[in-house]
Parts: sequence; structure tokens; C-alpha cells
Amino acid sequence: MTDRDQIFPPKPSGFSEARWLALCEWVRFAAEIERLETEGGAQAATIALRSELDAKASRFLKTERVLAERLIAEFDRARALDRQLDHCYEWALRWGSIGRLMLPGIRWPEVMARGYLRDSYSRDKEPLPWDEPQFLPTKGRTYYIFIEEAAAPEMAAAVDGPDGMNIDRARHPVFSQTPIRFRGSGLQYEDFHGSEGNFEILDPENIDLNQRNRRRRDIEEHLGEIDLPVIDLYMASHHPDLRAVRMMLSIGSWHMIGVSREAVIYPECPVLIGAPEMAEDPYSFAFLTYLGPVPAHIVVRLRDIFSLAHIPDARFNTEREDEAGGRPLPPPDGPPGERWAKAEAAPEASMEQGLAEEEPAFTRRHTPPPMLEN
Amino acid sequence: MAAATARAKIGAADIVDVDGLRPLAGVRGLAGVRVYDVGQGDGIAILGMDGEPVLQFDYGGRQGNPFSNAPMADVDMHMPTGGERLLMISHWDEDHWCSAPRGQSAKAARWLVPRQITSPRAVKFSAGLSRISCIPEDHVGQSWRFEAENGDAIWWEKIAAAPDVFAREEDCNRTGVALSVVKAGEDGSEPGVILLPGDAPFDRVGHYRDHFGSGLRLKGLVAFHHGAGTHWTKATEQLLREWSARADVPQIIYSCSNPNAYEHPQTKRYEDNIPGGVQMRTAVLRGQGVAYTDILF
Repeated sequence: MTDRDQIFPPKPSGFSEARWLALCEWVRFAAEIERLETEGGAQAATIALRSELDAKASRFLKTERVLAERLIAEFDRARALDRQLDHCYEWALRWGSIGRLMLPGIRWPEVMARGYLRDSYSRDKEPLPWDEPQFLPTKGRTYYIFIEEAAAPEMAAAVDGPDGMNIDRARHPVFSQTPIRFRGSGLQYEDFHGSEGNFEILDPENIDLNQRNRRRRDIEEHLGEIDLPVIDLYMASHHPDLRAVRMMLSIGSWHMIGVSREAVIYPECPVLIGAPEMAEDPYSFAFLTYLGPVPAHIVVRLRDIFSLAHIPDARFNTEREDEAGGRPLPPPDGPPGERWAKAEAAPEASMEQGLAEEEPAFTRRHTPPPMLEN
Repeated sequence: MAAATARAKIGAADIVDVDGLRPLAGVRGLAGVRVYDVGQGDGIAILGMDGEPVLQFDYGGRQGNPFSNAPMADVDMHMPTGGERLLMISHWDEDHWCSAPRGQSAKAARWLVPRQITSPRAVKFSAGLSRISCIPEDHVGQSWRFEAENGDAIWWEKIAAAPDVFAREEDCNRTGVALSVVKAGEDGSEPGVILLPGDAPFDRVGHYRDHFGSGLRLKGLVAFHHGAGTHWTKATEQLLREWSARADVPQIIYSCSNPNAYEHPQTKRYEDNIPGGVQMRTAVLRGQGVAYTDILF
């Protein structure tokens, strides 16, 4: 065993030697910064470390040019020491199965998750740069998940499982503490990448009927046999990362999660996966092992394939005189805002006026929807 | 107020057919709405004068769905649709369509749906429907009507545009479809309206305000979002308070499972804002051997 083997854990499959060593060095520096901070290290020492980190980044640049450029940019943006730490943990988290990275003296499960999540939160919803994961957990599964719901059933007596059946919280050990549920649905990483090449890339602003028909056939042919389960991710209401997770898992967004039955990384984050149509196995139970963003180019494909692009617009006949269907009238005389303006002159104007003042959205309903109220 | 006058004032357009289907062909008039017990979610039929369903609005039910372990024929029998009837959904949340795969008749219906960002499950399900079309986005924010022979009408509106493909924070409750059923009174009956907002905040539905402005009496409503407090604003309260003041006692039905994971319904919100009294009742009546509850004009 060499000195290096004593310092660094074994290299997982999927990493090049250079990339793995660079990552390990990076992590070691993070640990040193943490130690300095814990022991009350001087500001000068921190600055020196920062300088050394930059130097390492320069060396890193030679082997991992694109990645290192991103890293340097990340560090340049980091203003506080703890955020530098967060970025180190984040990169480690993104690059591998954190369960394998058990360097002495580092509380990996806690700090990595918190750092990553806080980072996501602090970015104010900007997309995160990220390379595809180089390998997947050998145990467990990885899913792309579309977030449909971020409910807070803290007080509910009964929650429902992915199959729609009630789960009695009092009888279920997972829910003995008040849980918060994030509900989504999705598909396994391998299933998506095994089928996405079969789908024509569509321009959402310009889709003809033939493309819609082809898309529909492709969905039936290439996704017909693939499970798209409901995925319920639970977190304890007192979990320190809950606020960040709530910010990150916004309704309508795509994320990547890893789950495993054996994992001990986030034992406080159970995941239920199933669907009503999976009657013989209504849901499976696992723990979260990973939660992260989806690379932008994959999000584009997910949002394209899982869209309603296969459905044509309806053709409405509003012109024909028809005894059974009613009399045609001229089309509406303007957008809703104009209609409200007219209504305000009516006897009920006081109410309309009052509402318009309280809820300006009434007169601009064509604008994108605002954030969900909680 | 005569329906034609109200229509002209408001400026809604009649739609005679949808992809060749005349939604209210042969329907003499509208009697009210039927809210099915589907557990957590919505499944609502609009009834003709003989009590027959003439248009289906939503076909859902998730938590506590009574058809969970039932044969397919059960859902077809209890929520009849299909054939040459239109099935509209308010939005693509699963609790508004998920009874459809449990039967056969809904899958054979003609679907008219909002274009939204939605889940992989909804996309896959919709791809299996042979007769489905989206409300064109250039119709958004406008009121449209299907009219029966006596002037009664189903009004509907997609309340906001679908976000673009890269949008974040997509909340499909805010871009869905809301309906109302209007008794015109042209046959001598008392005019009135029943509101079916789906999960949309009903104070954001343009034609609801038009109805209010035209003086229509509020006969009842299906509590939006299953009786949730989400999207509840002062405007919601004001609309309820002022509109219900014209009604005798409006009927409000909430369609949610019992128990459920969302603390639905919040009945006190309605009770507090309808000072003249309100009839609130649940659609979940299976314990009494009843599969639905109606609001009739």
C-alpha cells in the first residue's frame, strides 16, 4: 500500500485516473479548509489556501479544461469561505457515489447535502452547470423525476401512496415523524437514454400535423413498455435541508434522484415508487441516495419528449348557423382587460374596481403564471 | 336578463362544433351538474333536462378512488361518457383524469384539453387517446360557449397561456380551464349559474366576473381545488361574499377524499365568507351507498 492509497480511497470505475486524483486532491483541500475553520484558522491562512486552490485549478486545467474553467468560475463567484467548501462538496457529490467517498474526518452525508442544496438555493434558480454523471450507483436506481406537487401533509392523518391507497401514518414507521412530501413522476435513467434517440427533436413553436402524429406513434412505440411510476420523496419537517429542497423542487421542474434500499446516506429521506397500474407491486420503498440537477441539454430533451406536442389544436367552428348547436355570435371584443374596463362602468363597478386594485393579475392573464403560493 | 342580451354585452362566442362534433347537439336544456364520488379529485357531468350527462368535465380521482380495485365496467357504469360526447379536463394534474385508464368509455370520448407543461404519465396516457385536441392558445383568456336549444349554455375559458417549454415554477392550476353552466331563463325558469372552476382560483376566471356583472344568480359551485386554501385571496373572498349575497343559499360541493393528505376541505373559508348561509356537502357519499351528488337549477 502506498502513501497515496492511505490518503485516497480506491478509484471507482468510470473515473479516469487523472480525474480521480484531481477530485481527491480537491476534496482534501476542502477538508483542510474545514479543519482550519474549525480550529479558528487565521484569515491569512484561508487566503493562502484560496491561492493554492487556484493554482491547483490551473494544473487541473491541463487535464480537465472545460471542467476546470467552470470550477474557477465557480470559485470566483464564491464570496464566503463556507461557499467555497460547498462547491468542493458539490463537485464531489456530482462526480460520484458519495457513499464511496469516506475520507477520514469529514461528515460527508451531512455537509455534502447541505452544501449542495444551499448552493442550488443561492443561485436564484439559474441552471447549474454540470457534466453527466460518469457512473451510476451499482446498487439502487437513478431516475429523472418531474415534480408535480410539493405538499406539506404535516398534519394529515393519512397520506396516500403512489398507488392512491391510504397509508396510515400511525402504523408506518417512515411517517412517525412529520414528513413533507414531494410528489413527481418519471423514468429510470437507462430507460430514458435507451429511448430518447428514437424521438425527433421538435421545435415547440413550429410543429406540423405530421410531426405531431409521428410523435404520438413514437411515444406509444418507445415508451409504451416503460414504467413511468409516481415517485414520492419524503423529508422530515425538521430536516435542515428542507427549505433548500422546497426551493429547488419547484413544480414543473426536472431533477435526478438516486434511490437504494441499502443506502444509509439519507436515511431520513424515504422514497416510495409505484403507480396504480402496478397493482401486483403497488409501491417499492427505498432511501434517497442522490438529488441533483439535470444537465440542460437533457432537460431540453425531457421537456420535448414529455410534452403535449403530439396533440393537435382543436378546430372550432364558430360560424355556421345551427339549430341544435346554438346561434353564432361575433368573437369576443378584446382581451379580458378590456372587458373588465367595460364592466367597471356597470352597476357592479365598485366590486370590479376593488378587485382590480387587489389583483392586478385579472387584467394581465396572458402573462406567465406567478410562483405558487404557499 | 335575457341570455342573448347578456351574451351580447359580454361578447362570448358560441362554438358550434369541435373537430366536427357538436357538443350539445339535440340537448334541449341544462338541468345542473353531477359531482361523482371519485375520492381526491374531480369527476363532474353536466346534465341535460332529462338528467342525462351531456358533457363530462374531468375524470379523475386519486387518493381514495372508489374504482381502485374495481372492474373496468364499474367506472364506465358510474361515470358514463364516451361516444359522441365531449370530455374536457380542467388541467393535467392526475387527480383530474386518472379514472379514465380504469375504464373504457372515457378513452373512447372526444377530449378537449388545455395545452400545458405536464407530467410524463399524463403525456403517455394522452398519447393513447385517439380523439384528443388542445384548446388553441390563441383562444386563451376568451370566453366560449356551447349552447343548448333553450339558450342554456356551458361557458368555458382557458384562463392563462401555457408557459414556454423552458418555464420554471409551472403551476398548471393557473393555466387550466374553468367552466360554468348557465340557466338562461328563456323558458321561464329562473336564470342562474353554477361555477365549475376545477383547481383554478375562481376569482381569476374572466367569464365568472362577466356573469357577476350581468346579474346572474349564483346557484352553486364546486369548491375550487377540492376545498383547498391554495390561491385563496382577498379577491376570492370578496367575490364569494358579494355574489352569494344575491343567492338564496348557494350550494357548494367539495370533491376530496376522506381522509386525505392535503387537509381538504377548508369549509370554514366558505362559511366565513358567505354570511347569509351556505349548503356545503361532500361528494364522497359511498358510505351511504351514493355515488354522486347533484346541484340542480
